[in-house]
Amino acid sequence: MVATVEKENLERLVDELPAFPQSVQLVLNMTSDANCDPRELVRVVEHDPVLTGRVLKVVNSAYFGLSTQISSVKHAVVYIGLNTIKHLALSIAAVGSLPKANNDGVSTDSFLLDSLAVGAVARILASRCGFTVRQSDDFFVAGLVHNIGELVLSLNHPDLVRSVKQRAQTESRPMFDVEKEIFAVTHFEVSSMVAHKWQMPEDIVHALRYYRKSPPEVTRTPMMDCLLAAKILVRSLDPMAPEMRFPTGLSQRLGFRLDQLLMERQHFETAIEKVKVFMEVA
Amino acid sequence: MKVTLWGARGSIASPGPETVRYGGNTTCLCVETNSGQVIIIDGGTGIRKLGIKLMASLPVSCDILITHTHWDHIQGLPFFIPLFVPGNKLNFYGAFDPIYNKSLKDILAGQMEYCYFPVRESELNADISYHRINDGHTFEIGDARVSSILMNHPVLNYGYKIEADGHSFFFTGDHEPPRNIYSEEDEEFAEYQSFIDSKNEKLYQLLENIDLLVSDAAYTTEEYPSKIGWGHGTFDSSLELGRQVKAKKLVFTHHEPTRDDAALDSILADLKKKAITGDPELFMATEGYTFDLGVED
Repeated sequence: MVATVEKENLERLVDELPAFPQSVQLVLNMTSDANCDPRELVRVVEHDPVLTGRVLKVVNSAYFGLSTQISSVKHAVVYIGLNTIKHLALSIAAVGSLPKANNDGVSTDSFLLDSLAVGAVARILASRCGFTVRQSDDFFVAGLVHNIGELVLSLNHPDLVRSVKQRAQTESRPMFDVEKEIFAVTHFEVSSMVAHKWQMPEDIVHALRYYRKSPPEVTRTPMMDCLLAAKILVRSLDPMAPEMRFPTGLSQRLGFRLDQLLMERQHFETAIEKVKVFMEVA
Repeated sequence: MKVTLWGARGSIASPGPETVRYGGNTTCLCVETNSGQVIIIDGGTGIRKLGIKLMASLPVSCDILITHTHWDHIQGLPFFIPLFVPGNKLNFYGAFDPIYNKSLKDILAGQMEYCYFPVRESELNADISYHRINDGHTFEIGDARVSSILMNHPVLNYGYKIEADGHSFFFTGDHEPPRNIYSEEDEEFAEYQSFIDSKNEKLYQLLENIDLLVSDAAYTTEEYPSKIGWGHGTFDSSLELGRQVKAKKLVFTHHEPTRDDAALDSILADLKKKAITGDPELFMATEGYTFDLGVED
């Protein structure tokens, strides 16, 4: 009885989430097209006032050090160039698409940083696996929203989520095991529900549900593997983190091991720093 | 003030018998003021031989302005010997990269990561300092005044104007004159054009009556339609700039790797045929050539 009620509540919560901004998907599509029509990019950005505001805030910040105040998206394209605006728009749109802290003061900064980091690393790993720039951007989006289910649960049931975490720690069980008992769904399933509501590609919806653990009847996909690898790698970059390994089979499917990736930690840390700046400025 | 070209090739070094006259080294220029101040602009492959020359007189003390960090403008730095010698003092100047959130030092160190080069930036023995430059920055280096201005290229690229000994010199770095993305019949055309005109006006004011203008002229006008957005100028756009600012001497640089000496000769000859009264004196950037601005031709 409790499980059924909780599931209905969660479905309602997901339904009530604001839509994933269309501008993000459009910008994503355009930024991976080297021949994208610059007028279209300008139009998409200009039609999203929030995105426009954030782009201008970044362009006029000390990061760019311009001597002229930039007043509009067109002005920004003339002044700093289309390619730079393309890069900016994607990162700023991505950061702005995620929910912020609620009135209970649940901080979303660490969630946002983790999401950006996993997204940035997943994109690199996808590229290593031979995916195109356009395809790798889907891995970035998957990383960006991979944990949104946990945020939805935290924002709406902060006490219950705290209990889940405590029990998981004291009983040495994975969080998703405990979530199943309390919520009847795991945060992976909620993330997948959100991605479905936001009409994301089916492989993202599927990967968010199963990247951490997939039943035998579900075939592992490269996106699931890259997400899982990215998650583990991001944790491993924390100098205080215990030594970790990829689960059995993951290295084989990806073609590289965690310790090999950690030898390039500077490369991954740079990719994460690159997206972090938009948390501070956007 | 003397300006010597140590590399005039764009994109990638292009040695060989077909390019021996204009040179195959990538971008590097060296300014020497009458008092002996040495200011280097960009560290393309041409900086290697410049370093050997500078090492003849120790200790080396010089300032290096980086227009932007694309390979062809920094790839010679790991072979610039003064960096390795204790007692030498080098100051680097350039932009912070806001897209990658990296300082100039981080970017230059990046090309010296152990997987690319056997000596890390942290192991260089000279006294090296890095200075961030912003758009519209004016500062002194010895008896020279340096001014920066943001040009138009896929990464932040600063053009640098240097004034010393009563003369002035400007290098565009890599630059594609901004073009209107709208057609004349679009209602957005006029507004966009006003931004372009405003940006150009800033550049013209800075460069007015410049003695020596070295400008990115990678493409011919015929080649340009397939290179739009690549961040480079043409011979004609450089000439237009030279005319606008009444430059006395105009040097076309960033030679395409595929453009041999004969082709460059031909282009220069055509440009000179089309010259009108008041045009700057035209030159094709030639590796090893020195412009002595204090000497009347």
